[in-house]
Amino acid sequence: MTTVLPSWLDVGEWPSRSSATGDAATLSAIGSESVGIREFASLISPHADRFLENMAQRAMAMTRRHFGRTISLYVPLYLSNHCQGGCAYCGFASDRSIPRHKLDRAVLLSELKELKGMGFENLLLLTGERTEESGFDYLLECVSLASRHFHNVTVESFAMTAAEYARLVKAGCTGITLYQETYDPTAYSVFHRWGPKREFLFRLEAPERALAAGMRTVGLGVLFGLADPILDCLRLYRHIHHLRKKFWQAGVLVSFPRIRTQQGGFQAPCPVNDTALARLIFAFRLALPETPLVLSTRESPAFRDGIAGIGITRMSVASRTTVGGYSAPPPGDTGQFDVNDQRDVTTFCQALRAKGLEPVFKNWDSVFQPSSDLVPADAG
Amino acid sequence: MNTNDTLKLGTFEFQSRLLLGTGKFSDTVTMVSAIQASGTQLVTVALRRFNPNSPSDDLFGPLSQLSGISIMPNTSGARDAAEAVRAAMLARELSGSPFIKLEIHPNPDHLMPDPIETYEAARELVKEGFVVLPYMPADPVLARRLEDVGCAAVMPLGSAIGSGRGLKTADLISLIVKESNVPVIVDAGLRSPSEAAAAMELGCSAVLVNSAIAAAEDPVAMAKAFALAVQAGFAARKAGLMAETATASATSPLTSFLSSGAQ
Amino acid sequence: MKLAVNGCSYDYEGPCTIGALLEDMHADSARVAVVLNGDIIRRQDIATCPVKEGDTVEVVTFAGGG
Repeated sequence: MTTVLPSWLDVGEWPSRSSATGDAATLSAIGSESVGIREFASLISPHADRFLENMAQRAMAMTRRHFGRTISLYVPLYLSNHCQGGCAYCGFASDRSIPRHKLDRAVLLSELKELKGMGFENLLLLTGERTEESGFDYLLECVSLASRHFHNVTVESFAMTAAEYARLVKAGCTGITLYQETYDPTAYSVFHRWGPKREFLFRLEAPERALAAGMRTVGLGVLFGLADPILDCLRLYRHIHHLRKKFWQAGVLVSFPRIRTQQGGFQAPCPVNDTALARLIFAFRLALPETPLVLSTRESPAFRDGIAGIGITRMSVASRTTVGGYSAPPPGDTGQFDVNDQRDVTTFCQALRAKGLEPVFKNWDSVFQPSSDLVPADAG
Repeated sequence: MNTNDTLKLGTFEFQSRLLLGTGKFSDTVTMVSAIQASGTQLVTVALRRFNPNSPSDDLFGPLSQLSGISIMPNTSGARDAAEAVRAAMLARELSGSPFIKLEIHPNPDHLMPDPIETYEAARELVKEGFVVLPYMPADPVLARRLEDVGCAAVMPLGSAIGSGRGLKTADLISLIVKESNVPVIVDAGLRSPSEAAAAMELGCSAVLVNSAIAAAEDPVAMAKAFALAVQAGFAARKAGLMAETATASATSPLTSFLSSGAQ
Repeated sequence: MKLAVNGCSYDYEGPCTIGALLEDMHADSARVAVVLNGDIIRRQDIATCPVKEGDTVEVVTFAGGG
């Protein structure tokens, strides 16, 4: 069965158009005040690596202009590693023989307390694809509890229905992160071997359902390594523009996850090296000057310190990708992916400050949200 | 941005992207000649009390003799939403035109549009089945709100009505163009054809001009000049402007971390 | 009878319809819209719509405007 892509994902001939890849086109795109898909195609092309330093300088100038010298910090919290999904690259896939757990209320509370103690206010709750043990109702309960303690609770989980997103919003969830992983339906169907995630279009349209249901933000991304990064980035660019045209009040964030190592025997067919990843990040910064760009602890300390504030404006820190990893790390448990940057909050913040960047833990207060479901923090 | 060759307003299509106002002309003959020279297909008119002493002031006759021209009455003189809605109903009864240029400017000194009353009136008029084109401040948020209630286009001002001060709001109009799904038409403030071309290059779908043509030394020649400028600006936008180039010079290398790390 | 037409007092002695009143004013009924005591009169009703002593009538048409 072939998936018919919606017309708003159409990238025309840009991936192969030679006029996008000359020196003149690249330099002109770097200097442009209004980067459209033509300039973006030049910037993401490997040809642009010759001008990577120019791109970095320009990206930093634009980042400074819109974000100042700040890096917004968030922390991921894995609620459950139960999963019925068959993502070939994921440590939680249902064919992996790993111990499965989910946080019960008591452990969740102690994890929240631990993270709050580290100073975090931006919390990202994660689960696998829905299962009997950890389905929507479980997630909803966790969001409800977490939003009493944290100012900003977002969710990275399975693609949901509009009604489910509306209930999450009501429970205090302010955003979702949902990577399409790849915008190439053929590659998508190879790597998502079974489970509900096989529905490419249901996932593709999930950010729209979330925004229509009242989410403030959606985080999009391509999991680099799965398919041609150029085509994926062009379609991601189109996806962002589509959402912006449709939901003018929405905040869109872009993340840059990549499969770095062989993990669980998975070899990325289209690996993206450091230079290429930096180029793609710079290109998105030049094309979307006001969009937060996100980088996780999958990346090395050297890469993260290098690119912080140049294009990236939001970073996770001190991440544990195991369930219950903060207050009671399960011995011998393996996470969803390998954390490359294992520095604690204090060490990482010192590194940022040494670069002249200020770590920011909190951006806004939820007091503006008139949600009847929110109760004071001490009631938890 | 509308990159097709026709201007679409609701279900109606126009070849010309120049809308003409009919005010301030010295006489009707000049006005008619200017309309013809401009190639416009949509002209605005105002509603006024019939004057028994000079029945020849009436524009209805001369305009109805021009073929291929649609009439868009405006609501000028209305100071709030209720007055504007009433003026629109009356204008529709008179002209049978589905178009209405919604303009509400309570302050007679600067004639700046009232965003709140305009929004309320737009909502009402869309419900009444009008093809609503609101004259508005160059405000991207208001533009989206007006689009959301069903306006067929948004018409941000370039500068104050009749001021001839040009595209003072260019940055805001760029934002509106970027975020709009309906045609953006610059209305008010233009003085020279080059400004009309500039508006089209920014991605506007059309411009509405009145004073700059009516008050020119030779209104008919100026109407032609504006028509050419609008075509040039639209063609330039379609052709894709070359990007400005700023040569970035490396002060201290930012990308050295790439060679020091793994991979 | 005395009418108020377009804000002025108007002495009118003809047949008691809007159509006749417009003729008296030298107004082409196809090129004006009429408001009688605040109500917009439908185009097809203008000719026969009755007027009476004390009515307020607004007769509007198009003029140049931007």
